[in-house]
Formats: sequence, structure tokens, C-alpha cells
Amino acid sequence: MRHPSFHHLMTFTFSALVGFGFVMNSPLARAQEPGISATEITVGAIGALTGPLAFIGTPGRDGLTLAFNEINERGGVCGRKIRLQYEHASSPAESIAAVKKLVEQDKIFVLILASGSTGAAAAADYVREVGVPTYNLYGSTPIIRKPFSKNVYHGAIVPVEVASLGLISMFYDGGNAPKKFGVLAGTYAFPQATLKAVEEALKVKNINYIVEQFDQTARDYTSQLVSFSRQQVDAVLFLGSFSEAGFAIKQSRELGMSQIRWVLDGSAVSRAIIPIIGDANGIRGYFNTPAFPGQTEAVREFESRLKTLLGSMPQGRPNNYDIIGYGSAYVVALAAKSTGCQLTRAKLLDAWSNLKNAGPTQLGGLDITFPESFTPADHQGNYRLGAAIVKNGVWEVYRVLEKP
Amino acid sequence: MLAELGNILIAGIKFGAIYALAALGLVVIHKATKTVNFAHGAFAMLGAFGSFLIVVHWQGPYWLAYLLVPILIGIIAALIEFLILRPLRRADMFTVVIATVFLGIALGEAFRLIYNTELLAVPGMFVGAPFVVSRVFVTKETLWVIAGALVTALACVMLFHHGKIGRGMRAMASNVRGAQLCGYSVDRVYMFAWFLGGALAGLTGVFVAPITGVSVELSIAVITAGFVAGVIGGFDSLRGAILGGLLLGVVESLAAAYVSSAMKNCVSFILLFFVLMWRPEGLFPERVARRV
Amino acid sequence: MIALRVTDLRVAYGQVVAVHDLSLTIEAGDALVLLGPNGAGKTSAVEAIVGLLPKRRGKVEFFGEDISAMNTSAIVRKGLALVPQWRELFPTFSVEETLIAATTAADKREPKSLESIYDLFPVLQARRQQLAGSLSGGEQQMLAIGRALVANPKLLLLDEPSSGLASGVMRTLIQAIKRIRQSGVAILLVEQNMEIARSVGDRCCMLAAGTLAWQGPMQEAIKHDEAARIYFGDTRA
Repeated sequence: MRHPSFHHLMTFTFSALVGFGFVMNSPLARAQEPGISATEITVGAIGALTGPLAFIGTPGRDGLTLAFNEINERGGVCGRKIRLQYEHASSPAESIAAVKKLVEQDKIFVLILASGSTGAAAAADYVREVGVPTYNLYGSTPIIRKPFSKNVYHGAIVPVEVASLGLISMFYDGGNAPKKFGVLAGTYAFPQATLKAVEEALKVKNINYIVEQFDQTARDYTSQLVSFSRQQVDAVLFLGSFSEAGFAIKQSRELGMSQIRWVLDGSAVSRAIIPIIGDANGIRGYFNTPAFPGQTEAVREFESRLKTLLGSMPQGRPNNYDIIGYGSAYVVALAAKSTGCQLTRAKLLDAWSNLKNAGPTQLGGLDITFPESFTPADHQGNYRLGAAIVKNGVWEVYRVLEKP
Repeated sequence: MLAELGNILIAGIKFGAIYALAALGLVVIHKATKTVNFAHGAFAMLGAFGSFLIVVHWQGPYWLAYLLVPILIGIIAALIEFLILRPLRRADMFTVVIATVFLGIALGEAFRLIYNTELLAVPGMFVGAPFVVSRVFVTKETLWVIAGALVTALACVMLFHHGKIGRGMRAMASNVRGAQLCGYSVDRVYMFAWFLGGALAGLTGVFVAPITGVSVELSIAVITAGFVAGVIGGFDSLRGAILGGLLLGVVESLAAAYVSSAMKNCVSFILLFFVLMWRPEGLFPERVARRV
Repeated sequence: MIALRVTDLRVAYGQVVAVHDLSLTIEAGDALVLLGPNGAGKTSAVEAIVGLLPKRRGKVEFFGEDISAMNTSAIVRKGLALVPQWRELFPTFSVEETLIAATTAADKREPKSLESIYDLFPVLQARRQQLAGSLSGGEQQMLAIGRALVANPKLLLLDEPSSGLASGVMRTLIQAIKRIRQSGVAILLVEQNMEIARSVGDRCCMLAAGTLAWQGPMQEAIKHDEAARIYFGDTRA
């Protein structure tokens, strides 16, 4: 075998250096930050598009899509269009797999958890470890919230301790004073987390109460209602989904317990509850945005834009997850913009931690969410809730519950 | 205390009337064709969905749902008999039952794919203040469900026992060869039995939609309750299916109220277990005649 | 006119051939007796004719129409009725309802009145509200014949109507079958009982091991030595 000549060696070295240099100086090299190219910012998101949690993930995707479309039509952010890569994930295993795929394979810039507590809890350890900027839209679970992590932000959904106080305060609205409190809570993770916070709050306030529980997707609440009836409960706080709440309230009327005042956890406040109950007037609950769909001109406009996007509006939509998805997309865009277009993850985390009153209006979007503010020590963007009531068969927010 | 018991019994009878209707459809198909249709719950779910489409989606009148849905689900069931089960008629019982099980799952999953929500809510046919008699509450909807389901069930029993078509199904149930020798066509009778069973499932769906909403879980709930009620009643007796359904509804309701709601499903299986242990022929079997 | 023409009929259960290329004809209004020992394939033959058993090969024509591929209910509706060996009644049906159910097979023909059946078998009238399952063996046989007859058939196949019946009942049956024949219905009678065979049939086919062994007039069959040997089996010889 012939030894390589000096000439050959030089040629090779030179070529390699030029090649390397070319790569280093190309636009590709400048965009080595994951998810950033000369023309695009790739945002990844996970959430359930099918199955029992699809009522969270599907509106999440649609709200985000609508907002990013609007932002892109106005020229995008930092001269780049935002591209949403949405992965379906329902179970914890699917969620963690989807997050890993987005981060490692698709190289996204920001991760949005649009999956509720299940997916958020599953992804929590991984996102902390890899440090990808993460925006938790719907997860109320403490697993994603504690301990504090500098790359994880929380949006419209307030911590359960805040929500519990708001819920209890709603019983006293309109000059009422309940004689005996009942709490009707699902045995599954999400209502249980709220239940714990509610019980602590009730104890602090020295309020006497009884707790009854039910299994997920229960359709019969006879024993719980009979127990409330025997103990002359006149105020029930419901922790569960809208369908569970709907059937429990309907059944309470059938059992002659029409004097009970109901306050529902945010997860149960939905348009879809009204046809289940029939006459739902007077039922209260909190909503995560300042106006219920249909209540203001802005949310009506949102609904019509969403309908244009989807072709037709599925039952129970738009819900709070649609609206929050929309508002959150604008928060992400604002965070990117406020880096001064130095689009690196480190700059993004800095900028995000100093966002103030971030919301759609700052970029020409619809004013339908509570604006979000962050500090380096507090990544909870929003602490406010809308106290809502059913009037004439429709939900409306009647006051804003401020941070306690 | 007495008023409380009254309220609980009425709630039980309401569920029981629906269980009766569900069981009846299963028993009609089983009686005429010797097949247990495990897709029955999925048919009921489709019925509830049909009711949602007519009443909520297209804003049509409620009576249209009661009229159209049973016919449509009946036709779907008859088509399924024609397309899927007829080729399997000479296969063993196990194959046919498995076919219906997977058919049920397939229908449920198809629904999940098309309609991606936690639950579709359907309003009741009646709203308004309940009737109150000495602190026992009866809503109009409860009254309608109890009366409607039971009248339909009894009409079905009449058709089966006194109608011309019912006679063919009973003849087929009693002796397939004899029935053919009387000029009854196996194909036609089986198809009609599936139509009737499907129509009953569809009607169950329309009645149950406002009570439980439309979801895939509905199909499991209907098949479980219908099956247990059918077995309690003897599975070959239409009257037994109705009584079995009512008994199951009342026992479940009492157990839920006086033991715990978690006991509700448990109780139905305990009931099933004891019936199978002590009276495998069911609590309300048909008159048994000497074998010919 | 030929009521029934069977050509090269073969019936088999898996590898076992029960009826081996049987051919026979019955004139309209005629009465043919199919004789043969147990296991000769008589029941298999009649059940294949009405479509209760699948045919391996062969052709069945009824008043000139090929009915080989039809199912039982269609054949029965054409006017070819079978009184099966095991009667195949509906235990939970009353006598009356059984007869009403069977009028389905009349199809477009006018069914016979229930009275005409009760006229033939008066005991059925007395039992008309009773369940078929609670009748005696003889009454059940009468009901089975009545059920076939009420659809006003053109040809009646009777598969061993005498099996398990007392002699008194048998005489009633013979009288009834004779009357049915007189009314113009063609009859194919499967029998082991010579007394019935002799009093009903004009012509006789003898079946042995699935094959047609002999056929001819009834009187000759009775005398026919070889036929008798086939019929009663070799043990008697």
C-alpha cells in the first residue's frame, strides 16, 4: 500500500478545515439552538387527542393553533414563523415518550404541556433534568410545581390552595351563609389533590363539613346524597368532572334535595353540564378566564374564529382549555420576543422570568385571558379566577377572585 | 325515613325499567337465535348517540329520536346479522359470541375516534318541577322513563307471544327444524330477531341518554346490567327479563343507599352469583313443558 | 303428472355415505312406501328431499320445478310437507297455536281450516288449548300430521309415523292417512311396520345400506322373498 504523500495530506487537511469552517459559519450552524431556524421557531406540545382526557388536549391544541396562526399572519416573532408540533399522549408512558421524542428527535425550542395533571406529572422529572423551557398549561398537580425549577412555568391554572379558598368564598356570595358544608369528591388523583387543599382551608376557617367520595365516571350518587340529606347539608362543593357533577346534581333534584347550593371545581364548569341538569340556574363554580364563552364580545369573536378554524364546533366547546391554549400561545410568543430576538434557551428563560402582564392584547390578539406575570422566584403566571354562576341557562363570570 | 325509602325505590325502578329494556333485547336475540349478543351495549350506545344527533346536534323534536333511532339501530343490527353472523352460522357458538364481543369493542372505538369528548350530554325529554307526594319526589322524566320503558317492554312481550312475527321467533326458538317445516325461514326469522333486538337496544339508548350521557362507558354499563338482569330472569323468558331488570335496579339502589355506592356494581354480581348457584334457570323462567 | 322426481340423490355424513344415488318418482295423488331396516338411509333421504340435510349430489324436482338448491322453508311453502320422525313440535305452543303457526307454509295456497284437522283427529279439538309438550305420544303424532296438513300440501312425506305407538293409535293413524290420500294428496311413507305399509301404499321401494334394492307394486313386495329377506335382515333367513 502506498503511503499518502505530503500533498495528499495537506489537501485533506485543508479540505477538512474549509468544510468544518463552512459548516460553522453557515446559517445552519448559527441556528444550532434547538427548534430555531432562520425562518421558524418550533414549539412542541403534548396532550390527549383521543380517550377520556381528550376534552383537555384537543381544545389545547386548537387554542394554541389558532393563536400561533394569528401571530404568524402578523409576521411571526423575530422574523420567524412559529410552528407547533403537537404530539398525542394520554397515559403517563405515552406522555414521557412524546416529550422525549419532541426534545431529542424533533429538537423543539419550547415544550408546552397541554395534557392536564397526568401528562405533566409523568414529564416532570425529565423536563427538569434536560432543562428544556416548559410551559405547564393545565396541570394542577404538585409534582410539576414542586420543587421550583427554573425552566418550568405555569400559566392560567392556579395552585389548588388558591382555588380552594376561591371555591369556599363563593358559598358566601349573594349574602348566603351555609349551615352545613358537604364536599363531594372523586377518588381519582385530580379531585383528591383539590380535596386535600379544601380540607385544610376549611379547618383553618373552623368550618364544620362532611366528605363523601365517588369513583371516576360514576353515574349514581344515591348513597352520597342520602348521607348529605341525613346530615342536613345545604351547601355542597363538588370536585370532579362536569359529567359527574351534572349527574350528581340531577340526581339530588330527583331525590328531593333541591335546597342544596352547589359550587363546582373549575374542572366541572362547562356548558355541557347544563343540558344534563336541565334547570341549572344558581349553580356556581370558578372559571380560569375572566369571561365565559359567549359572555363578552371578545370571547364571542374567539368562538367564531375557532369555529372557522375547526369547521364546526364540538359540543361543550369552546371550553376553558381552548381559551387558555389561545392565551398561552401569546405568552410563549411574548417570551420569545422579549429575548430581544436572541433566541437561545438561556435567554428565553431569563426573559420569561421577567414577563409582566403578558397576554394576547400585547400582540394584537383577543383579550380573553388573565394576563400573566412572572418573577425569577415565582413562575406561576396567574393567580386570578373568575367566579361564575348559571343565569338563565348560561354560565357567566360575575366577579374576579383575586390572589388571596 | 319512609319518604327517603320511597325516593330510593323510585330511583331504583327508573334504572330497573331501563335494565329491563336492555335485558329484553338481549333475551329476544338469544331466544330466537341462541346467540348472546355482546355488542348489545354498543348498539345502545349508538342509540344514545343517535338521540344526541337528533335532539342536540340537529335540534330536532324528541319524539323523532324515539321513532327513528330504534328503527335505524334495528336496521344496523339486521345488517350485522346478514353480513357478519350469517357466514358464521355453522361455526360453533364460541366463535359467534367472540365475534359479537369484538364487534361491540369496534363500535365503541369507532365512536371514540369520531366523537372525541369526555361525554355528550343529552337533555331530558321533560324539565320542570317534580311531583311531590308526601315528600316523595317524582320528576316528569322519571315518570316518562319508567312508564315508557315498561310499556315498550310489555308491548314487546305481547308481540312476541301473540303476534305473527313473534310466533315465528318462538317456533324457531323452540325447534329450528320444526319451524322450518312450518314454512318459517331461518334467515328471515334471525334477521328479524336481530332487528328487534337492535331496535330495543336503540330505544334503551334513547331512554338512557339523558340519565348517563353518551360515552363509550355507556356500552359497558348497558351490556353488564342487561346481561345480569337477563340471567336473573332466566335468559329465555321475556317476562323474566323485565322482572329481572326491575329487581336489579331496586336492589342496586337500595344497596347504594344503605350500604355504599361502591357496592352498586358489586351487588349486581353478587345477585348474579347467587342466582347461578341456587337457581341457574333464573328466578322467573318460562313454563317448562315436557320435552317433545 | 309426476309430483316428485328424485334423481341420483346422494347424502353423506363426512366420509360415510347414507344414501347412495337414490332415484324414485311419485305420481300426483299416488302413495309410495319406502321400506328398509334401521340405518338403511330412509330418514336421510326424506330429510335431504325437504332440504333439512345437505345433498352431496342429485336432483329433486317437485311438479317439474327443480327444488334441489332451495332451503327447507321455501320447499315447504311449495307444498311439500314433512312429518318428521321425531315430530319436532314446539313444546310451549298449544295445539291450536301449532296449527296456526303451520299455516305459514301454505304461502299463496289457501290453508286448510283448523276444523278440517280437528275433523280428522277429534282428540286434538278436545286438547286444542293444551301445550304440545303435555300431549301423549299418539296425540303428538296426530298434531305433527295435522301441522303438516294444515298448509294444504300437494305431497306429504311421513317418516315412520308408527314408531313407539300403541296399536289402537296406529289404527287411527292408518285411517287418517287413508283419508288424506283420498283427498288427493300424494304420500311418501317411510315405514318399518308392514301393517301400515300394506294398508297405505300402492307401490313400494326397498332401501338397503343406502341403495335402492327393489321396487314394485305393494302386493308383490309382501310376497317378494328376496325383498322380505332384505327387509327383515339375514338373521331371519
